[in-house]
Amino acid sequence: MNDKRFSRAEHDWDEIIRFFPNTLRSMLKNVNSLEQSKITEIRMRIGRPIEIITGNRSYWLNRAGGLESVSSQTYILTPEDFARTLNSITNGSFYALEEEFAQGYLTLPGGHRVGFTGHVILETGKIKLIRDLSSLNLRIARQIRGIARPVLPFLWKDSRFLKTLILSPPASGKTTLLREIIREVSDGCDDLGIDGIRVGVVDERSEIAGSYLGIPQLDVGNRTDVLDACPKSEGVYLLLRAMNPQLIATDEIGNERDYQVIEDIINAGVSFIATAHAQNLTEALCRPGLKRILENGMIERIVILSNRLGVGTVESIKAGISGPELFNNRIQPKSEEELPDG
Amino acid sequence: MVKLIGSLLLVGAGSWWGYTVSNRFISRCELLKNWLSILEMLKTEIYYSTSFLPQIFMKLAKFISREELKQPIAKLAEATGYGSEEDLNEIWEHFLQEPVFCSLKQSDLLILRELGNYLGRTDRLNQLERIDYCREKLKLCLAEAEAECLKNVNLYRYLGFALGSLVVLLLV
Repeated sequence: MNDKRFSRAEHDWDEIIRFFPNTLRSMLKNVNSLEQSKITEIRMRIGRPIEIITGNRSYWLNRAGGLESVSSQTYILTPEDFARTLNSITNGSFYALEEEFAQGYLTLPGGHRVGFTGHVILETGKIKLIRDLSSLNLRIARQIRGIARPVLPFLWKDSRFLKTLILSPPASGKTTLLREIIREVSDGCDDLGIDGIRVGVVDERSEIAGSYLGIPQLDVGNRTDVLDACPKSEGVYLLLRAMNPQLIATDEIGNERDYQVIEDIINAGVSFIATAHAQNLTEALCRPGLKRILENGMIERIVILSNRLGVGTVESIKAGISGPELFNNRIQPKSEEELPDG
Repeated sequence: MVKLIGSLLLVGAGSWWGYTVSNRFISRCELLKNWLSILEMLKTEIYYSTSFLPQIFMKLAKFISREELKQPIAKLAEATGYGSEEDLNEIWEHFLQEPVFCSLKQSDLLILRELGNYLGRTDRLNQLERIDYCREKLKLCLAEAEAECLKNVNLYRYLGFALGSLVVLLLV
């Protein structure tokens, strides 16, 4: 244990592979340094080869640390390897991760997330626990600074942040974009005429700030307060009561209860930014929770992302559901493998 | 003069032996008391802060009053951190083999080993139950150790002095 975990994550390869036991660590250490920076996910399944995902491509890890396209020459993960990896990533403290084991994921220092599957134990129809784990997926968190710059001028008007909804299909970079927007408006950007504002983040799934032991591991700005692993319905009111935010940010809205929460934020005179899963506006309107939010005119800006030209392609920016399309020229913020999460 | 010095050395050696043996009884009592407070802290940390074991051990190393225990507990915290090659059970076993615990009896160590089999592996409530169970057993060991202490500490101290004196008398 050292203080490194409390500092902001540097995301170098060594920091990521330290979560694995020696046998696997030595293999992963030998992965080509050019490939290392492109890796977005490491997937492990008992009795199967280790899958390495870089952007839209998938490889298998061989004993020498090489990445293979076919699985015949690869290292097969043993139950012992898996148990040791699990022991390492949980610090041998399963009791401290009961909630996480019920939800199927946990956050590591650096904001990296581990999802797992196994035998599900139900209690009154809800998942109580996942035991006898058989596969896990380490999603590497990377921060890409500057990707919000092309979008920000559309979201800031008359010295205030406009109520914004980011729509995108899964794994299209919406959380990464959201994080960068939060950081930029929290710190302020003189060149765009944005003053720094107080941002409250309700990070229900620890994806936005990647908090570990309550401390954000990803840079979300100097004026940002993060409520980690807190349900939106509770967290928003806590922030409004206690932290006097000027902007509230949250991830993945869409159910009926979220409508009330967002209405209360607006009535409190606070702006908000949220994300939701939807391919486009038509799809978003098919979801009853989102439809209510969109049709009530609560949203002033809608940013639609896709994977069309690579992860994080901004398809369009609209001034609300019935407003004009402010942008449709398709900004491509970064290359295809640079937006790994959310 | 030489005889006097020799006699004093023999009596001193006998007394030293007596003190060493009696100190083992005292040390066992103290260690068991230390373990009871370690387990109490462990229980509190698991219950209230649901901290991870390495953090708890680090905290223990900082707050434990007995100096000789600080280093082994800090080592334990380090060994259980990320990228640990060993299972917690193996790390715990190595920890119990530290020289500082040599005054504990095998029966005491057996109780602590048993705790190591469950530590960290089950849910929070079960962890608390296991720690409580271990504490109750160690309390019984402590009662036995204190009784032994009362009975044996002075006995061995006098015995050491007496043995030294007897050897002197036999040689003179």
